Amino acid sequence: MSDGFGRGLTKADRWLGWVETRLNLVAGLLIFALMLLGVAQIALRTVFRAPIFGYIDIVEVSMVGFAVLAVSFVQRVGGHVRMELLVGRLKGRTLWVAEAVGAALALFIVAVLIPYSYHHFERAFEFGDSTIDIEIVTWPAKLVVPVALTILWGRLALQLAGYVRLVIHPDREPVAVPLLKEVEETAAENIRQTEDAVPDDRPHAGSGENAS
Amino acid sequence: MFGLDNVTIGIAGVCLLIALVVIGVRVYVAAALTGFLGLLALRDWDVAAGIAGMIPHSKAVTYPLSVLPLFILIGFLAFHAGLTARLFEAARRWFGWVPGGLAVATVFAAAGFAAVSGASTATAAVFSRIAIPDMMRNAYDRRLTAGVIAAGGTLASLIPPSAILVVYAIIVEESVGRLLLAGFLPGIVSALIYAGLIIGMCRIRPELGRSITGFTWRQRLQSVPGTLPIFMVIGVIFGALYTGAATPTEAGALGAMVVFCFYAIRAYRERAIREMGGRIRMALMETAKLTVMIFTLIWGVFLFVRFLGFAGLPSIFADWVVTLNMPPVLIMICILLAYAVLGMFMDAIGMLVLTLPVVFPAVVALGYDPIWFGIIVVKMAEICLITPPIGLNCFVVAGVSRELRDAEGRSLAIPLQDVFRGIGPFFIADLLTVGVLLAFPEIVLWLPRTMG
Repeated sequence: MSDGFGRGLTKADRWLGWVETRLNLVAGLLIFALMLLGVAQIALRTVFRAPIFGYIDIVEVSMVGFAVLAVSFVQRVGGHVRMELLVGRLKGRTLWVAEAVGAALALFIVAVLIPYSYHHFERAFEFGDSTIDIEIVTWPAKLVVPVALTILWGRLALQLAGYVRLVIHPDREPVAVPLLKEVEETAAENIRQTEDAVPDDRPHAGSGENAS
Repeated sequence: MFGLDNVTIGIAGVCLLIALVVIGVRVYVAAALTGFLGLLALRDWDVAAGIAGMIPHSKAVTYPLSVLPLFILIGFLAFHAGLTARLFEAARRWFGWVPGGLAVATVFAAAGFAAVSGASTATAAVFSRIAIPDMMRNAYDRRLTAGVIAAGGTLASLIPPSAILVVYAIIVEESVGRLLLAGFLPGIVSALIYAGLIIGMCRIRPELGRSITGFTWRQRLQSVPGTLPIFMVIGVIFGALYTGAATPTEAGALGAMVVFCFYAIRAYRERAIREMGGRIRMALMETAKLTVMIFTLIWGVFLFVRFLGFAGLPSIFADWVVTLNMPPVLIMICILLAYAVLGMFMDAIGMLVLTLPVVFPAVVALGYDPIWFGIIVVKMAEICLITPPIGLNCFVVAGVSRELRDAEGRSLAIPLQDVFRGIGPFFIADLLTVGVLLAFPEIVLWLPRTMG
């Protein structure tokens, strides 16, 4: 495996990452829309006594957008929960072998889920399955699952290739794989996320203060 | 398969899951894979794969779960809206006069902020920036300073909106609204116990932290309007849950809107609308990331739960626990200790979704209330955020303090070992709180029982 393979992985990682970031943004926008819909529902129900007909149906159908769509984005950034007690102590080739096994197992179960979640969509499509109140067809929402899982499969395949490359050449720079974070790094990430939460003009050290 | 009975396959599945999680396989993969292989062993490929293919959609797309992203969004928006500094200023004006006044103010401000945020570590990070410079300037003991901020952050998980309580409610099929309401009083009790502890410590050893006096009533009242959005969110969420006038999702939407509007007004006044756009985008990206992480965990674990159901393991485990010749309270203490150990090595939500399918039926069989147990378990998970070796909140406080400087440019860094030492009294206070909640379950159950 030459380093050309590493460059290929980097390119594929960048391309897939572009798609994943946009999907995550779509999920975020859907959450924002959910907020607006909820406020509209309360306003219409309390002020005009005319709630949005089929509100729960609309919410349930749109949920798949933020529940599943960005699953691959989280895999890319290593955000899915895991216990790092053991793997955190591994180094070099042993670490990459353990990571490759984890990625291979994930690849297997996602490969099972894709065709059978597609069957779930197919059934809904063939039978014209719809929601209870306003009868929105459910197949588009059900189709999102195999699509999102296919992107996740692509991400996992990329990560597996990245780990295998490191198993063969442990001294090469890791590409297309999330790196383990120490507790300090996780803490630093939390700190960065809230960096702008304290405005500079804060009403600090109010007048009339005496330490007694 | 292989002539094994269902229970043996169930136990083998649990062992496989534990092994996969321990070697570092991501929890959603470990749970989904074990669930699938277990169903395959109990039935056949078509049944196992058929169930597996349905679960990501059917378990993720249920209306009660739609509250999750909104609660997470409120928290992220609240950080960007700059509510914390105003809240802290109000708390120090109102409570600064008591012994250890700034530390007490930090606890109450953190409790107030918990009402718009469910994120413990992020709350600890924000309050580190606000409270450490002020407390150090007033010669507060640095261990007390660090301890109060790390512990204050943990209040976020109990006081609604709390994502972890929503996840618990979904997994054990309890009312989300009742569970969220149940967190209010224990959260307030925790805050009061922290405050009582600080006052007691500072009265015995005044050098730990002095009173801050000299504020007039006028100054105190002037600090109130800055905290209005927080009280509005508390009013909206508490009112909606208590009266049942709106669903938790609708309450979450309104709460997020209140914080969003407040932020927009602030940005407009400061002519920072463009900057706000960037931050909203960041908040939405972070919200979406955390949301999909939790949803993935939920469907992965539900696949495992389906397998456990087929194997009949939860009911057998529950029957076994009931026949143990031990008082239920002793079993409960053992369960809580197990959570305390597990929580030291694992994220709280991951720990809950993994263990509840087996532990919860046993707890109910012992006669404990599901809502009460939820609050106790979340409290235990929070204690783990301030205990070594992980104790993420402590790392956050130490990390932020390294960036801080006083007016003369001197570093305000608090070493990690001092943070862990400072947390000691608060850890004991937390154990006391758990003891109080064990002895007086009414503190948890009274509010949800009176709701409309």
